[in-house]
Amino acid sequence: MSAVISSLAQVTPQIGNLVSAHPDRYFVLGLILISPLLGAIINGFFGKKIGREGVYITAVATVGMSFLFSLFAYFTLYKTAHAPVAEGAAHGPAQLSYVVWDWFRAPVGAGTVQLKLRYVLDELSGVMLLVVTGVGTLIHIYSTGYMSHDEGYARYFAYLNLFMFSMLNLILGDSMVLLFVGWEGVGLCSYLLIGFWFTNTQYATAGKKAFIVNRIGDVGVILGMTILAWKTGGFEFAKIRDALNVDGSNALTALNEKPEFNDVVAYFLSFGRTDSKVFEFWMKVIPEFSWGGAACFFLFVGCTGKSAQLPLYVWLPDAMAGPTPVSALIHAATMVTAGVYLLCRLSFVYVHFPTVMAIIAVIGALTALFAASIALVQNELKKVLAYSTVSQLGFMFAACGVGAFSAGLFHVYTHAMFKACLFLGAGAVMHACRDKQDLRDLGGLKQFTPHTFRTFLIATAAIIGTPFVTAGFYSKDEILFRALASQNANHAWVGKFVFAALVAGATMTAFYMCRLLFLTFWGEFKGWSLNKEDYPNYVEPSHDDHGHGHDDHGHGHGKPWDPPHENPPVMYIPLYVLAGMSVIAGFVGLPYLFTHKESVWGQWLIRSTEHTGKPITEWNLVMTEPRVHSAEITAMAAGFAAFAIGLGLAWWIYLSQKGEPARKLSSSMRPVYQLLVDKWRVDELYDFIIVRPLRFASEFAARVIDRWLIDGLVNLVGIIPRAFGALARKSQTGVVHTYGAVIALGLAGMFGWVVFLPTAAISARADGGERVTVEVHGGPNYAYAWDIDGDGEFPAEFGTETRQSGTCRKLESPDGRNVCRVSVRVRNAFGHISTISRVIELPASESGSR
Amino acid sequence: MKDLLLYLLPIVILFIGGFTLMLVDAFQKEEGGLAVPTAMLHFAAAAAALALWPYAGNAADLARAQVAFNGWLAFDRTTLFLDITIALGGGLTTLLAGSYLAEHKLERGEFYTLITFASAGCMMLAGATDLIMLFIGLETLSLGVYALTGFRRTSARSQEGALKYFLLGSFAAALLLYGSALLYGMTGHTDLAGIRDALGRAVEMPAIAGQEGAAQFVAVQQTVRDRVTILAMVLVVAGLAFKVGSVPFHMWTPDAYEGAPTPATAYMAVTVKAAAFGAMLRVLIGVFGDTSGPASLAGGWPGLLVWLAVLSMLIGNLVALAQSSVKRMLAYSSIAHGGYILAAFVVAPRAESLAGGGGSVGQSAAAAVLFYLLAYTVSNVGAFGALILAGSRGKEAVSYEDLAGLGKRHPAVALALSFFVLSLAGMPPTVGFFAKYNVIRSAIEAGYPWLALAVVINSAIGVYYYLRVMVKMYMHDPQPGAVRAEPMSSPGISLTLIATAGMVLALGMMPQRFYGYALEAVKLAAAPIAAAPADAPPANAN
Repeated sequence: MSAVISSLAQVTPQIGNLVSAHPDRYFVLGLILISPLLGAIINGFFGKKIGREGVYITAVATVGMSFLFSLFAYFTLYKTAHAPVAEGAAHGPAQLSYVVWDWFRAPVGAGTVQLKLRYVLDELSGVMLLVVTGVGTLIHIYSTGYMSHDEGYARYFAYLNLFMFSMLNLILGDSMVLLFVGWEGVGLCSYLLIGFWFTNTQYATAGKKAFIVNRIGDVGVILGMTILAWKTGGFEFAKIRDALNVDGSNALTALNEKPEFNDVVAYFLSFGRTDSKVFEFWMKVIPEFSWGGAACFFLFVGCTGKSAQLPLYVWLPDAMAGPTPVSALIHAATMVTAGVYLLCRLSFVYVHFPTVMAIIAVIGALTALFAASIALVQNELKKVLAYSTVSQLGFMFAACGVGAFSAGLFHVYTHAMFKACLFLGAGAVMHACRDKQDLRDLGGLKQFTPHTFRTFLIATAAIIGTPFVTAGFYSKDEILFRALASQNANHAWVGKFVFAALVAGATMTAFYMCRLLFLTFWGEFKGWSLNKEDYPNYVEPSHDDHGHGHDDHGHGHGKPWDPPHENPPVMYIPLYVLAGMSVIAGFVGLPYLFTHKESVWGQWLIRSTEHTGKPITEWNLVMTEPRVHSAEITAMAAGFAAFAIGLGLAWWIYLSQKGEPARKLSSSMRPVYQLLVDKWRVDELYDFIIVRPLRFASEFAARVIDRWLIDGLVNLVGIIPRAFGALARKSQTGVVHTYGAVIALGLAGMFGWVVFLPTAAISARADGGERVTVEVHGGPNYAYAWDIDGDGEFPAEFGTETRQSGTCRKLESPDGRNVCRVSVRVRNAFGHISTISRVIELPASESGSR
Repeated sequence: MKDLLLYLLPIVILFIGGFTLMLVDAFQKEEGGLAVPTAMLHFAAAAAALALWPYAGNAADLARAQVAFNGWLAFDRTTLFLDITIALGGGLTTLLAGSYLAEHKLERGEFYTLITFASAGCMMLAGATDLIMLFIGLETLSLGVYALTGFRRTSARSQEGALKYFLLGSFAAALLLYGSALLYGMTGHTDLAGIRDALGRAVEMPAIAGQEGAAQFVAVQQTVRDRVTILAMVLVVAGLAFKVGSVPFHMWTPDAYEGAPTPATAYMAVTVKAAAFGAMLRVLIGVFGDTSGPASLAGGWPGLLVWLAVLSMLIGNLVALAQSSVKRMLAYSSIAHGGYILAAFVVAPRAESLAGGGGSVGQSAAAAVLFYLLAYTVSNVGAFGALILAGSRGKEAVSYEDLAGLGKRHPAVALALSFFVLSLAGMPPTVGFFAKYNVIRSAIEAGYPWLALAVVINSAIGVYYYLRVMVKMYMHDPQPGAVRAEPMSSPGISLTLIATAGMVLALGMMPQRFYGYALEAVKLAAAPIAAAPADAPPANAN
């Protein structure tokens, strides 16, 4: 692939030069973004007018254009990155950016930050960009076949295009704010598309669930984002990175500060029982969290929501209610990997916080294991794939958690190919079998849908990690190896634990994916009778009018005896492309063991994701041949074993024994089996501990607070206009008098205020030490008496000076800050006097007493 | 610019246009058809103001203009920014009126003449740097607007609203005039710069200098002058607060807003408000907000305005909550929006204070006012326009109940109304969000966190009743047998709404750019007001 890239890059040097001449004006990025937005607008507002064909062409063309521009931009970037540099000069960062306009200013910490609407293409966003637009284009093409009989096609493609736009915002945005805009945008589109067939209550509920669970995560993102910006003084990734890369960086010091309210948190978490063991535990754990750790943790909470990790994964399996191409695009290939992308994007922050990294690694590994265990026994095609996605995302997070960000992203990339292929294949199966997706009803499809079968086979081979020839093997191997080789500075056991869990997870993956494959494509088709001889009226279905269906609506036509049929080329050609990618995508990441050098992939991402010398990636420094080799051989052997065991078991159970051992096992271990079928009953648990109390609280709020308190308040307020209304009915002139009286009263109040209550704006400045300068602004003929030293005594004489400097007396503030109080008596032009005072914070350093 | 008279172009266009409209109306046989020309007049005025923008960036030119016009009108960028806002609001409401009046059989030519003269009055008010000019502008616009309020001659409600507005408006004008007279009496000046400079000097009486007791006599004179000045300022503030509909001078608003034909309501809510706030900006911040001089009332009147701001927000929002009529709700909510703008006024004079960061905070607050006015103009015209579009003759959309189920019956109209209501509620990425954001930001930067909090809390209350519009449209079905709003079909209003929505989005997506213009406008505002350099104030002002 690298050869392809470089040769293409050589073809385009002139154009590349032309376009990349102005680093901040690389407008191709703008074209990449605007193209799907245009599609969304056209399809959303004029979809009905331009008709079905028009919608298809608009949707596919806009996203396809976006992909072509992305390819072009990527090659330009590649060329920039590999441009010859002067002798001895360091290679600058490969980066293309496009400033659309200045956005707004935001106060951050002490200063103000100018935010720009700026998009950046660097190595990291480059690969994500290609994955998103590439897979996106294929799925748009596929969708034109899949949705060909749905009434809401315009709405569907408008949402899908809007999703592409939001996702591109998320990837290309150069600041956390812009990323968050995209983050929310994809969430919204996901919600709209899950509930696409909203007339079905169950589907609508699934959409709602996804939305609500993601909101929980979003709170985390906002918190993390705010803390990070506050402590580092910027929202832009590049700015934070630069702030952290300085030696003895202030930003890093700020991030490493411990919040002062740690003990308060511990107090609440132990329910106020300070003498309990719980409190001791929290007091031990929480101090490990600095502000930066908290920021990273909260951002990770956001990732668990968006990327379906424990404990917020529950929405993803339900999200399969949406049309299958949506599941492939949003809930497998792109949106759900946004969390991994965010971690990689901020990897330079994360590597400073080993404890948070350990949490990420463990959560990822547990999710991989947990979801795979559920997938073992599920009977619905898409459910298995959904849990498989959750599990594979767990692999990616585990990789990030052990510091192997590039390996995590590598898996994002390969997974996008084979999982999209699997989902689209599942869609093709359902399309062929009239929306049947229960594994118990399928079987023997090998002969009916040969294209689907071939591609599904290849993608399955990739996901189970068939050695040496598939992409899944290389990405999984890289993760296992890096997990084994990693050494978390605070928790050394994490690497080994993650390795063991992931190997177990990989074994289960191999098993359930083979089970899925065998039950779907081998054996006898059980859906409905296929014997043509039984049906004298049997007509060979033609490709023009055979029944297309989709997940929800049944076939309007088609005979009951029609066999499953292969789908039109618009549907299987994308499958072939994805299947091909599932094989060749891996060769950019060949392991060190084979080539004795850093892989193309690792080399490309080294600046974005490898941060040597930081606690979490320490292993990189001690990487020596024998050690690396031993770890790599172990990892590869383990991966091979997982593949072999999973495949062999499935082969034996489902092909050799026709599923008999599985039936025996499930009946002999009934409770365990049932628990797995019920997905560990997590939904029920959440229902019990979260949903029901919440529902109770909201009912309480609706019945009691809203009805009595709010309505009461509103009614009370309503009395005012109603009183005037009543007056109005009685007498027309009386009202104007009332109005006039109110004006007069208001005027009297204002006079009273300026005459009897002298006020002055007071401002103060600490001049260092205990010196302060105070300034007041009153009105004409105002006079002031000062008490700077805070002894409560004012001079008898009032002066007209509005500014006074002096030494103040330090006060003990409860939270240990140095403060002092200054007071001024103000006499206004009417001779009335009042006292105003202000507490000033003194600089801590110069007084030396802190 | 060589020809200083060109500075008058926006106002002149409107005046000449107004007279022409009168003539055309008198001689044309059939009523109607004047809406588009009137709107074009407004847009031409806006274009003229836009064209003048580059020429208003030069302090020397501004000073010459100041002298040439006797210090009556300022032609700085603040004026131009306000002129553009006013012309935009006037033009868009006229477009709305064209379809509205025809639909409701109210088409009479004087509507357009009145609105054109009122807009000219608004521009005079916004540019006035002399109390007499300010009063003339105020009355020019008021008389037009009184007549517009009572335009539905057959409707008792319209007549009632107009009469109330007129009576109370006269009261407020009297207060303003009385305050102006007192200021003149105390300083011998009617121009704002002169008043400021006079107040900056101590009272001197050369005639009796050296005589026995002269010093005490002068001191008494000084005290009297300052006391009366302060009270006069309060009167001026009250007069202007009436025009912006701030609590406790707001009582006329709901009656007038509800009684007036809806386009006139929109006009009152946006254009009149922009002009009155512009005048306030000039009087309160330009002259009496100079915190460095002893004449400053900066210490006193922010304290006063805090009350007006907080009360306006609170009462405006709470009463809006209880309304069953959407039109009345919008009226009360405009009181609340006035409160948000006043909050920025509180912050603005902190320009030179130690905490305020050397002038930039004060300027950013003043710019927040201008930006808010522009944002409110486009959002509110859109909201009223969508409300007009949602109703037709005999089936008007006035109350919440009228709107029930509109989302299902007429999704496009409902979408438009939702969009503008969301902007009023302050939802990103519409401009309403950034308008409030600027106010909150400047309040925080100037050290008024609690004022920022008040704005946030009140916005939250506001969201409740704004969203109620959407809840009604999308989630409720109309009562069986109830009168439902039936949208009229009007390409004119639809186009206006599309243009307005575009502006709401453009302002919301590029707030920095437009806020930058506002900032430029206020940065250059301070210079022309000080026509003559003030003498150094003596140290012993007492």
